[in-house]
Amino acid sequence: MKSVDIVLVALMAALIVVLALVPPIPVPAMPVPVTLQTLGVMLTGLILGPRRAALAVLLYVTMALLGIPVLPGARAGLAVLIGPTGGFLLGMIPGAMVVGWLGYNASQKRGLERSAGWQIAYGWIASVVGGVGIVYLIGVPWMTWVTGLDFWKATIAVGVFLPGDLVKAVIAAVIAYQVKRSIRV
Amino acid sequence: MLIQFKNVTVSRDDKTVLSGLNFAISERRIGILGANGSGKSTLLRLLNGLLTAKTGEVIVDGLEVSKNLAAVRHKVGFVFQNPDNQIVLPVVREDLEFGIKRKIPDARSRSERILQALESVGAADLIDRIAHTLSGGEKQMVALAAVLACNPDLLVFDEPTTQLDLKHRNRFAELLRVLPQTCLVASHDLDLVAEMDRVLVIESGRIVWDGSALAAIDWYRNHCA
Amino acid sequence: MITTTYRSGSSWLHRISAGKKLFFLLVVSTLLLMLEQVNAQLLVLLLILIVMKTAKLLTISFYHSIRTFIWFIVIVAAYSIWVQGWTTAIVASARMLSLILLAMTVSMTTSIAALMSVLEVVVKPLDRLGMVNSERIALTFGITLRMIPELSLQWQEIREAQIARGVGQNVLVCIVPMIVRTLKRAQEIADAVDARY
Repeated sequence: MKSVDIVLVALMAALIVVLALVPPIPVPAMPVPVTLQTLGVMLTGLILGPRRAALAVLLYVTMALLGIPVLPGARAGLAVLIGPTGGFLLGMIPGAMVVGWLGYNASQKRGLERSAGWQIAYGWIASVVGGVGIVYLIGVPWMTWVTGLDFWKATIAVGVFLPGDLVKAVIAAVIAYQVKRSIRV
Repeated sequence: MLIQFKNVTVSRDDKTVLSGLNFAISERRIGILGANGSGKSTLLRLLNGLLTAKTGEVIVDGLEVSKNLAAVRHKVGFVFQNPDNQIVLPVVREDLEFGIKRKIPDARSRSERILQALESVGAADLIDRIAHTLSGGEKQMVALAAVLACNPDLLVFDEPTTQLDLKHRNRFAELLRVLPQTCLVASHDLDLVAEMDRVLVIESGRIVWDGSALAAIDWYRNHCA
Repeated sequence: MITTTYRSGSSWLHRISAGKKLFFLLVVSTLLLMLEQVNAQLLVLLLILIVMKTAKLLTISFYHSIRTFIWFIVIVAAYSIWVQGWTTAIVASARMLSLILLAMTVSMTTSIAALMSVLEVVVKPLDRLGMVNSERIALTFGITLRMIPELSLQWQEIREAQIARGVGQNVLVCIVPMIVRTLKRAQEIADAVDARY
């Protein structure tokens, strides 16, 4: 890894912190106010690619577990793993990697160079598979393990957040598209 | 110290940024004048190998830069325009340690070197401060100290006073007069450049004037203002 | 940065090394996750509370920090009683509470620096195997910590500019310039690292 890669990993990790600490936004259809943390993670995947994104999110999660207040609400510490977001937090690491794996090259796929629509669609798919799919794939079983709830009951409970996350993925795809037009990473 | 540019050309993205640079410098205080986009920053970055020339050679104190990167980086200290991008670790002491950790294995000698470097710029009291809490001027002094701690022979400055208030700008000018190293300063601050032994003016990737400070500034004022 | 979970002090728990505490946490957590009897879980919970009391950890600020977790447990318990029955609910609730209390105890009595030292020790063998470069990891960590307040400032500036333009409510509109400005700094910071390394 070159120096600039190390710096990019560090900068995006810091960026996720800043976004995660932005006061949650109340949204009419959602049960809880929405934070920008997931958005930050999806964007990291789309902008840095699989390896650098995984490292950036790993750094973020490590800071959180060490006790540095980088989680929404300025929370931190090992106890978070037992709370509602525990498994989902861990899932973000492979999640970001998958987002990057699928969506980093969105602008370079042959035939897609000119179409904004297709690039954004591509980015959306990447964000959903990685930022939602993988994250829930690890988050839900973890929750089952910790809370003792039945797997399907847990899935239903968590499912209420799904529409919101799908929308976040669209936003991430649009933002990433705009960013990649302005700068080469 | 002798700095030589022999037929140096640099291009980026198929655009020629510097073309046919040919000069030799042995003065102790050198100024570089040039508008933004003139190739000034590129020229500076050739001196410590942050950028490499497509054709030609850059030789610093007898060392060809592209072939002796590590050795050249030991000799050349680079002070960037924005100290926020230059101080990379949260606490001043840590940041200064970073530059010399490999060169000085003994912790006590490192501590001494760090203190010395900070004292030489009048910032010894900042050693345990958190970088983020420092003022712009203080940050620039710390950035300079971090570079001095590495004991370079040549100091390269990229717009050192642009982000400084008057007090710190004057402090910097004072320091510049007494620093023992050879100093190469790229700046828009004409008063600073006026004190150089020799000034090169660069425009569109070429050296368009090379001579004494006052004459260069005069020419610059008439042609590029 | 706002307060961390660590509360400095000199209780007997504070004085135990970070490594020992983490190991203990790991062992007890695994045990708890395997225990299914109601009485056993409640007993462990009681023991934990007693330990915390002796270390003077059950303060008002502690109750504040644990509030969200309590809510979570209550909701899960309610749901659990509804779909799975009382016994499972009690076991699960007691277990979650125990785990959270244990984790928080470790967080409250162990400084971040101490935890980072443990991390260093864990990473060192990987360093020797050539799998990771601990120097670069430390550097990446350092740069992140250095940049968090800087980027925070940058975010404020962009927000203010947008508010001045009348687009204040929309946070999303600030994100693109935020990312672009951040990424543009990368090369210069990398140059600064290379120039001195």
